[in-house]
Amino acid sequence: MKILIAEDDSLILKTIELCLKRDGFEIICCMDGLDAMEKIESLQPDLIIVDIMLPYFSGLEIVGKVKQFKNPIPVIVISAMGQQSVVEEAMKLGADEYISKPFNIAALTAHIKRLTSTEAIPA
Amino acid sequence: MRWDSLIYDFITYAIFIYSGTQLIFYVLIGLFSIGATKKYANKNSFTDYKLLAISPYAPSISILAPAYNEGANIIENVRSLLSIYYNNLELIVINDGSKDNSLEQLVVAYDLIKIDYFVSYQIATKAVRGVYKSKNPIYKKLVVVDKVNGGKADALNVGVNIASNDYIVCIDVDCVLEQDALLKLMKPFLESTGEKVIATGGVVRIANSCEIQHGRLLKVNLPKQYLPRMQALEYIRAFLLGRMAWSRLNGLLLISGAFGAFDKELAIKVGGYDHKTVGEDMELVVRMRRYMEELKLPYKVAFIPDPLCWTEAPGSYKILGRQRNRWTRGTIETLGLHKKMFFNPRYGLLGLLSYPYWFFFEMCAPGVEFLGLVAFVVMAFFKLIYWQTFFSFLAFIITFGYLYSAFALYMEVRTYNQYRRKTDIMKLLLTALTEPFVFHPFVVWSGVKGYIDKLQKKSSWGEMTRQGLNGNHQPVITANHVVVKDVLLEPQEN
Amino acid sequence: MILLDTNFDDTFARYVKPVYLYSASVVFILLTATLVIATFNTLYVKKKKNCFKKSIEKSLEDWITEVIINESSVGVAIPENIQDLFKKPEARQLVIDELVRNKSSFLGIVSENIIKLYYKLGLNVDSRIKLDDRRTHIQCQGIHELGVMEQKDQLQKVYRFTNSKDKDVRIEAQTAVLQWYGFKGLRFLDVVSYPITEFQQLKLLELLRQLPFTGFSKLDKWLTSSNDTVVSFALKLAEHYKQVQVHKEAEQCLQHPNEAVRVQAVKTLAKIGDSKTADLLTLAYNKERFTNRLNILKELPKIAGDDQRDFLIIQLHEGHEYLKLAAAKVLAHCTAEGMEILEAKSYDTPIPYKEIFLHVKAEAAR
Repeated sequence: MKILIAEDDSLILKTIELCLKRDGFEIICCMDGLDAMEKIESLQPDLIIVDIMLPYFSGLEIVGKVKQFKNPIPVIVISAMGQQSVVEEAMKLGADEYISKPFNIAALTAHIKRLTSTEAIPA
Repeated sequence: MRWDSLIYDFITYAIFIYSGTQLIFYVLIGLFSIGATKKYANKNSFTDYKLLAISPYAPSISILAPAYNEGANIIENVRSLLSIYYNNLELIVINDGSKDNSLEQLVVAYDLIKIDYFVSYQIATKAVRGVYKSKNPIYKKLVVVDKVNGGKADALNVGVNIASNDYIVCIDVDCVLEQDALLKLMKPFLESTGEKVIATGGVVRIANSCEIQHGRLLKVNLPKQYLPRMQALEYIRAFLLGRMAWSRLNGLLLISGAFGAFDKELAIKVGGYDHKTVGEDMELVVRMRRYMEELKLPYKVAFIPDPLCWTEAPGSYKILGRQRNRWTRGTIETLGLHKKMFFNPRYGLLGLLSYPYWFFFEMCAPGVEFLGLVAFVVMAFFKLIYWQTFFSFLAFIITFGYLYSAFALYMEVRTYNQYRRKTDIMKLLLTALTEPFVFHPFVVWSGVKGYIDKLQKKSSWGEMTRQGLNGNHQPVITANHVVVKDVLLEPQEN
Repeated sequence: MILLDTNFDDTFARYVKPVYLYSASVVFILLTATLVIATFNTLYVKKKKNCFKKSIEKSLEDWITEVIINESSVGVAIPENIQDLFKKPEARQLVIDELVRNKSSFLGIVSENIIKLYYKLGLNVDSRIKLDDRRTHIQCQGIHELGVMEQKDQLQKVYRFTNSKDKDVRIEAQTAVLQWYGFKGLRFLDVVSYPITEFQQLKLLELLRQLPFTGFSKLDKWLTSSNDTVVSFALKLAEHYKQVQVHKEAEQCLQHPNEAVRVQAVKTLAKIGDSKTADLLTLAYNKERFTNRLNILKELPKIAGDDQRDFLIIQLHEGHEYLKLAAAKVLAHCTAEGMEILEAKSYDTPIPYKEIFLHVKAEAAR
């Protein structure tokens, strides 16, 4: 199970990375939107976690692009933006889950488990 | 006493007093900038600017990006502007009647369709041919306006008319912005207590030779060519010392056209950009300030000393000359339009200090120096020069110039430290040594050419812009202006 | 710059002798040289600091993340190499910065571990010492760290700062109190006499958003505060938390002498108003200038109905084009047959109503 994380703060990125690695996931880290887009195409992760405010491409753009794929990859958006309008915008673009910062790692892993298990069924 | 002795005395004293005053100003500017920069650096250390991007209560912004024949890079440039994250934002790209295929490229790249859009011509402009928006929700912040060509000021005015948000941020489409540039630029508007912040400006730096990828600055490099490198030093001096000091006094007359934010309502109230001048960025700031002074409203023009925006500097003498020629004309025109303020106590510091400073040391400087040179040559020809005095004075002025540059560099290294390598600083210092002999004379000469062009083109200018105002199917609403004034021109309460 | 023959004038020559100018030049050169040396020295010092920071950043980051994600590891001893590092103040500050930065992104176990680590390393003492520093930016830093790290025992000291005459100290103190006591922490609004800037207001609102809502004690009092910015802020709170019970006080704010307060009052009322609010706003409209008129028209769609039709039709004919367009939008959006009225108008008087009609129609379709 490969998970791609795009987050521009190295410490937060690392914290999430370590937590998820401990749970047995393979992690791909990116610090900006451009790198994320390239790695999504080349490495084909099974799930994507993106921050909204990223250099080059915003997280929302990544959501939009990913959801246009033939086999859309599930995406979790993590952002400091908590207001309803942004959540709705992300959901409208096709985000599978929206987590606002500050967040609980346990909640994140729960969402990951839910999304990856339901993804497996229709295939 | 002989008549010629009178003339010589006059010239000698005039030049001495002129350079003496200028020197005192430089010293004061230098001293003033220290405190201001220190204060800012301390304050800035842990401000969370991201807060502004995410808060629903942050002020709404319209970014105005005029584009004329930018086809080569327009897609990339717009793409990097779109990647600015801000909750309450619209990006208005104004295609100023480009002769290339800029518009077609944008339509394809961003899925644009022409929409029905009511354009209010509250500032009279050339006709808008169409307003485009994207079908793709990801680009919902993008508005592209296609208009009849009318120059930068006119394009910006169209942007102001169309902007639906409270603040406008004007930007050169090919500028490279720092990550938090917009947030830093907007913060002063939210921090005023008492006085209204009418505009903010940031520091512009030279992007030549820097590594840029997809509209982002990857690595700062010192420009490799002589002219851009010289300008890098010049910009450090102007922004870090000059503008910093003036902003501390709240006496700033110019916000760089490359990146600045304005209160939209006020910009409309004063009539928007003046398309008759080539110095539209300076003229607008002066006009807004004048308006506030005349109504006796407390206000402020804020300045952010952080490098926010990187721009390509002219690399050839030809283009640099043209730029400086234009700057000189812009200054003459702006100061000419507002000559009422010259030493007018009614305008406070603006009239008594800022305006005169600009008049004597920005506008007149090329002329004074040039005339000085002419006088020198004439007198040398008649063997009237007392060489000892001449050389001592020359040494005095040149070494003072070096001191000023060295001080600016020191401030730069102490604060933002963009050029980190020892060799870079060394190169900048060496470049500074050549300034009085190469760069400075050229700039002075370009300024003098600006005077000449200004004198020659005075009449034809007006005509050219007149033509622009009619002959379009879209009526330019002038009667409306009267109505606008009725509602808008009441004084602001505080 | 040049100087001319001064034979003609003795006074001038007496005061401006070449030797003076040459001496001044020498002084300038010496000063320049000093500055150049200082520049290179600064460059060197900065580089050294930067290198040191870089060299420890990675290992510290690794260690910190390792510790804070594990439930059990906080009790574990600190490795020796890290202990050595902690003797250096730069390293301590670096760790504080990293912890503070990470803390604000996480909840739950990670967040708890961050605080435990902060204690364990004795960094709370570092932060506390900063409160007594004479330099206000250091004070601010201390308050900021204590605030994020939930050091509630510092309340007494920090609370005093909420009405400090230094703007930055004040802002940090207010933020910290809110971080510790949530909505109860807002009690500084009762007494604060200095303005609360817009930036500070949105910072506080953002902080509150992350906390469970527990109600306001004195919202009605704040709405009648003599400090205009407190009124403005209270209106925002009323808007965001839909505090309908202060509806009367919010209505009073429509008469407030400060325009910024009135603008916010309109926004708040559009959220918490009752059936009469729309009429109230249209009544207030005539007394306002452009800014708040446009604001009222922008807020009206949330509450307007057929009762406002006459008012809107008047606005369609009067005033500035922006106001016409805004009125047209409300008309089309909120009243029965509003779009038809606009369409009829567009045939009747095509300039400017045709374009206004098309604009509104296109927007409604999108």
